[in-house]
Amino acid sequence: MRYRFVLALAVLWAGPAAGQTLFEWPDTAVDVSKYTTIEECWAAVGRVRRRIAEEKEWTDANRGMWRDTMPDLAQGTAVEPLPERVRETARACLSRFADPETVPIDAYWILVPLYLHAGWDDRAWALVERRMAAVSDDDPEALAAAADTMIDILRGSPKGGHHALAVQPPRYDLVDELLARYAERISDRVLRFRTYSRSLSWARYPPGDSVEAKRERDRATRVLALFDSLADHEIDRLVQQSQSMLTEIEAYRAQFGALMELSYGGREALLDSLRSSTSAYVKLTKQFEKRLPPVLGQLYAEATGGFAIGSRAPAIEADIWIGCEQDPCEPRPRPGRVSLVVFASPGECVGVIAGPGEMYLDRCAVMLIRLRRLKQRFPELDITTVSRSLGFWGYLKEGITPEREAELTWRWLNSFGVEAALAMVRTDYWRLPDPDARRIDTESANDRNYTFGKGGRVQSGAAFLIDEDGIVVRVDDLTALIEVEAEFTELIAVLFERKGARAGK
Amino acid sequence: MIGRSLHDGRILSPDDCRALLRRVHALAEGGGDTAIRVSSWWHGELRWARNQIRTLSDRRDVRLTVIRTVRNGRDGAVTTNQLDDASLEAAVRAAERQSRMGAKIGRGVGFYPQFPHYEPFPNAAIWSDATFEAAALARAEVARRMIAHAEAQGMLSAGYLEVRAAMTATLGTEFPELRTGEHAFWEQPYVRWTQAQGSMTVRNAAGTGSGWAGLSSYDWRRLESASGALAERAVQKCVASQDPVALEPGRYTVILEPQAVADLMEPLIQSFNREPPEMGLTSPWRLAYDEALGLWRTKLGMKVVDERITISHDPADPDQGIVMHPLDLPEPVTWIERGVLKNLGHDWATEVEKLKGWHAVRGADAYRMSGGDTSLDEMIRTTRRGLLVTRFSNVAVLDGESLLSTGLTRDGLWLIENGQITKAVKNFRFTESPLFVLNHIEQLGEPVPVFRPTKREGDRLRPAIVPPVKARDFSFTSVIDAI
Repeated sequence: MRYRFVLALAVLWAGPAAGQTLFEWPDTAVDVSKYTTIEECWAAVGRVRRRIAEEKEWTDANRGMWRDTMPDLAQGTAVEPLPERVRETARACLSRFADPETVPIDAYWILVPLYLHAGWDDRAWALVERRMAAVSDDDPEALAAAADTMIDILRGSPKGGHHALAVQPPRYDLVDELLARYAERISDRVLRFRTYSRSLSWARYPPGDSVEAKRERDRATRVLALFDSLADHEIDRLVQQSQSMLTEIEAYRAQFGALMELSYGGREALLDSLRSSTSAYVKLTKQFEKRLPPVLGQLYAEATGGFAIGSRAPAIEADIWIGCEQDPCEPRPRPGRVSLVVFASPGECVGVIAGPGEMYLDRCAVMLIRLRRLKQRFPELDITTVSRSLGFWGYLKEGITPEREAELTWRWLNSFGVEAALAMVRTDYWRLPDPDARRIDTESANDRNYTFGKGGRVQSGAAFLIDEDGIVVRVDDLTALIEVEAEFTELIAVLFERKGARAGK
Repeated sequence: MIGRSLHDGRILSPDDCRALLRRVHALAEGGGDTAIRVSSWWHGELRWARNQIRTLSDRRDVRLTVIRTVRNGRDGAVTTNQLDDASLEAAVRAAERQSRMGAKIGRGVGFYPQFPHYEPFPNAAIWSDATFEAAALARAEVARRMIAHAEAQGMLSAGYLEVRAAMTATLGTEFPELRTGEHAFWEQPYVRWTQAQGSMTVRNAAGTGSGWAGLSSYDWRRLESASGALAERAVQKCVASQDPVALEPGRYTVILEPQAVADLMEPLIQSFNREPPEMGLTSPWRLAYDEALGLWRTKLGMKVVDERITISHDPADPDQGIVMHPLDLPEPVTWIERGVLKNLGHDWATEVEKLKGWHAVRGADAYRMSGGDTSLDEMIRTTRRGLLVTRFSNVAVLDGESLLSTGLTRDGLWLIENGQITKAVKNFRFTESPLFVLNHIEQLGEPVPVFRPTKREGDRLRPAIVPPVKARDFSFTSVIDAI
């Protein structure tokens, strides 16, 4: 009793303020003995995974690591095995739910990834089979939906994007097993095609002889064969389904890009054709586009920049040139030079900077870093950035003229190490009548020329790779979060290699 | 003037604030940027019910948010109200730990031009020493006098009187090389303001009648001097509203007292924003999509209400002072001018990117609605059959495009027949749009300040000056039994 009184006094004496505000790291050790449900196991694993990721970021930041200095922006699925702490947590917590034959079947979407986290592949597969057996063959949509969900889980992209349930590394061996066992049960061929196509990591078509790369190619070959066998009305259905989801357009771009490469012997064949000549490369590229049904072909051409490939690059028009004092500014692209024409307008890229948070780079950084690295890799690459006046720059508007915008833009690009000439077009604009007064920019000659008849504005970040003869080889978005840099690098290397060979003759 | 009273610690003085900001900045470790938001408020409250004062309090608080961004880290923000050295240091350390937990891709290490400099708007009528010095006993004395009016008539009253003072300031260390003055353009220099507000509801002993009156202003003296009149009005309304009769719902000519107009107009006032209609979102000001230009057209420039209506705000008007940011347009704004939609509030980025100027344009946080010269008595005298409305409550928007709203009449509703008030009427639920009302105006009276209180303690001022309105075909949709 007396002891309790002294303890209470001590607590009171400590005062509220100190205890209230002093910050200490919470005890994050996970005691799984307190976790009694499947959802709590999920939370426990998530907590350990998140903690490990935060520790890594913190350590990186403490070392002063800036992502600009890393090889490339980390994208795509993580391929390293999960840390042992995560595996241990999953095993310990799942000891209550270790029998896949008796666990609640509706929790399969949590338990399959957690079994895989624990290293219990056989139990995970048993639960997969139990789930698939619960769906009737007479209901192809339900069967396809079940297979799609399971493929997403096994590929490490669980429904809802729950980080804790992301299987790492992706289990493509189980994906193949699933397709072999169940895909043929989906009687609707369009649904089956979608299930097959779900199994591919389209944007990461792997060259080389690794087991994973071969597996991916095998799957892609099957998808291609199935696609080729679809009737026109089935393709129409496929397109209708996909167009209902806008994000699918980008997926199509990646999908059929990979298919195209597969159809003609892979990426190496395309590069070989470019080594031979740009026209051979363009021909090979266009062949696939023509093979597609009209709607898909149009979709593909719009998404990949096929509208411009093989065309002669128009001369850039500008009212103000900066950064080309050593060389003649015009014409650009210059004859006999491998060129990259990039539409890069900080005003559109950064927008109006209304506070310090907006001076941190995000989308723009991708473009700036890529441009700098391409120039470092290929000093002879002739980069021209094309901009248009907007009437403001960052947070400045008073006293802004096209000349001032050009100067500020060039200094800004230059300060990030982007060595390029800048072509600034004085943008004609008009305003809606007062009191609306919104500024309506008109198309510039560069917009008209570089949309190649499509009309509209060329988006900031659009990059046109042009060979030494002035022919467009590749168009892509340098701000996109896909591996455009690697693809540009390959193509530019071939163009310089080819140029060197020509010069040697 | 502000001298000693401001230094009693109820809100931070400019010197205290500056010293506090310096202390916090000095605690930062590991480089990077520090930004600090500080605000403090004092709230003197008095509440009464059944003619007895039940609450008489003085409260205060301070809120300091420190945002640390260590090199390549994300923003780490920690808020505290403990200003001792140990607590502040703990907050700064915690913000730094938060910052290190996540990485940003990198700040623009390259070239940026110097920041533009904007002066804060000076001389707005937003601070009253009388409000700040209205002590508890002074408030109690006013309340006692108001209660006495009700007691003298054998009525029961409930109400509140509040006086508030608040300040806010932000200051950062980001980009010192780009600064042209003490503040960057996005920061809020030290600003302080006061608010006094009070309302009184009176009921008869049988609970069959109810009257109300209220007023808000930055200046306590206005509330104090009007307190007698407010109490008298609330009592009169209660007496006159006893034993109401039920009337059939339907469309009636209405005479809306200024408070009823302000209550009904609130959804309209809140809608003066440019971004929603230009983005194609639901708004009364969205017109149609222009296929040729690829943008949403708005009703800017179109006649939207009766041409006698102008809704505007002048920050220099002593009855219309509001707290302004240096990026806000330091000039009068007119949203509706003679019935035509002339302006919509928008942020700074919209102005810079799309429009002609370089200041944000405020929405109608504070506003004045134009009126006419018809007295309330004249409106009643010229009405063959209609209803006189004291105020509305629970106004909710049913349709964001037409602003069709619903709500209840409260604290006094009377039938007018042949130019005279003939009887008290049971309350109605209405279903009506303020835009419809402003297009069916018959007469307008003189605009007067109305009760438009701030809700939370540190909220900014929102004064309104509104006329009484007589309008036809106002839609009442059901009778309600509440008094």
